[in-house]
Amino acid sequence: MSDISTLHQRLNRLVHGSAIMSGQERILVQDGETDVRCAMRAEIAETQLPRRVTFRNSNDDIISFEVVAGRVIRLVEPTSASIVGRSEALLKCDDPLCLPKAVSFFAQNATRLSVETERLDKSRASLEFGIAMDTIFEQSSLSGMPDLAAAQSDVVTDFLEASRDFCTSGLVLVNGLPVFEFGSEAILTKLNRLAERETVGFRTSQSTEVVSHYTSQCVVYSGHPIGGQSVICVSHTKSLGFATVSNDALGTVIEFWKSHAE
Amino acid sequence: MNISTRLDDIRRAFPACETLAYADISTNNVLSSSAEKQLHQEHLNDLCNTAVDMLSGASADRVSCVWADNHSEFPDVYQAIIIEIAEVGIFLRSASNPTDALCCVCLPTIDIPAFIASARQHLEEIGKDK
Repeated sequence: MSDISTLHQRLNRLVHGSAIMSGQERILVQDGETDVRCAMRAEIAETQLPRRVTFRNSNDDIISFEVVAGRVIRLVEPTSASIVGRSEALLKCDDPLCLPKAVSFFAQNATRLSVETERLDKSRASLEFGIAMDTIFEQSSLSGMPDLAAAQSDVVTDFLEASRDFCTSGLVLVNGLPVFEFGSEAILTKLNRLAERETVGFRTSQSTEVVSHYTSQCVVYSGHPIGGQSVICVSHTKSLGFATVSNDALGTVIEFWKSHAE
Repeated sequence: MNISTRLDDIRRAFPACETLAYADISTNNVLSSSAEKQLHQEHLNDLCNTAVDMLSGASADRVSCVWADNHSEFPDVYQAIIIEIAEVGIFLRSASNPTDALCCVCLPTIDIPAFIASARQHLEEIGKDK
């Protein structure tokens, strides 16, 4: 899959890649500003190569998983005795039904979360399918997350309305439905075709394994540096926007996006 | 001037550029890199994969059809930018040697137009140096 959301994940991995691979401890949640279970789920979803992912909460409890391709293979040491003790012989039984309880206990009342990752032998993990995250995080599906879109104005529409004088066309979809458009019919037909493909990927990422901390993104594709055009794809919570602009005006439109997305 | 010196020069001129890689997108290979922190090969491979996808792969094909004429081939993508709250990714493809590309990961404070103008100039010069 190669859509906006996937590119976002890739960039996220690129940027944090050094820390992830060097085994440094990283803070994922501080002072309870983000849901601990969502942060754990997102971290696991973004871990594609075989890794031991070790989370530590505000009580200094530890829960550790072997992870590959965004899926948990098993619970492993050095998971705290306090966590393992919730289900006898949890580390040995590999029973997926035990994991939600362990995760639930680990995340309960936690206000801080850090993570440390360590490389695993690829051959050891590659043959295993892993446990679906909906099983592990059974009570933290996206439907339980706060509806950010309802609490915020539609940034994408505001951005494209502000950019209208500089763009040759624009299209905004909220929850997959077009709410705002401008430009010639010919170019809008192409943008709608592009939007259909992007929306499929966007919905998939919202409804399955991927939970992102970063909810807004702008991706710009440009043609030849001299006299070329650009296609802008923006996403913010449940809104997607597409626009075309000449490369000469691209800098102005990017500044508009940065000011709207802040 | 050799490639690594050029990459270092770009990063020196734009401290908000944290990672810079020169890649051959026809073979999906990073040929040289410059970064604030030491990079692992799989990190560079990920960066190159993204460049290939966005500049000449499926994402590029899907988007370039928007500005293609009905009867012409899809125009090439020469530049892709991913702007997020925490980071900015910039991927540039050489106009004179379309298999050459620069992959950049920058802080959000980067002056995107100025950085692209400078990085592109160096990218074209690398083609002449070779």
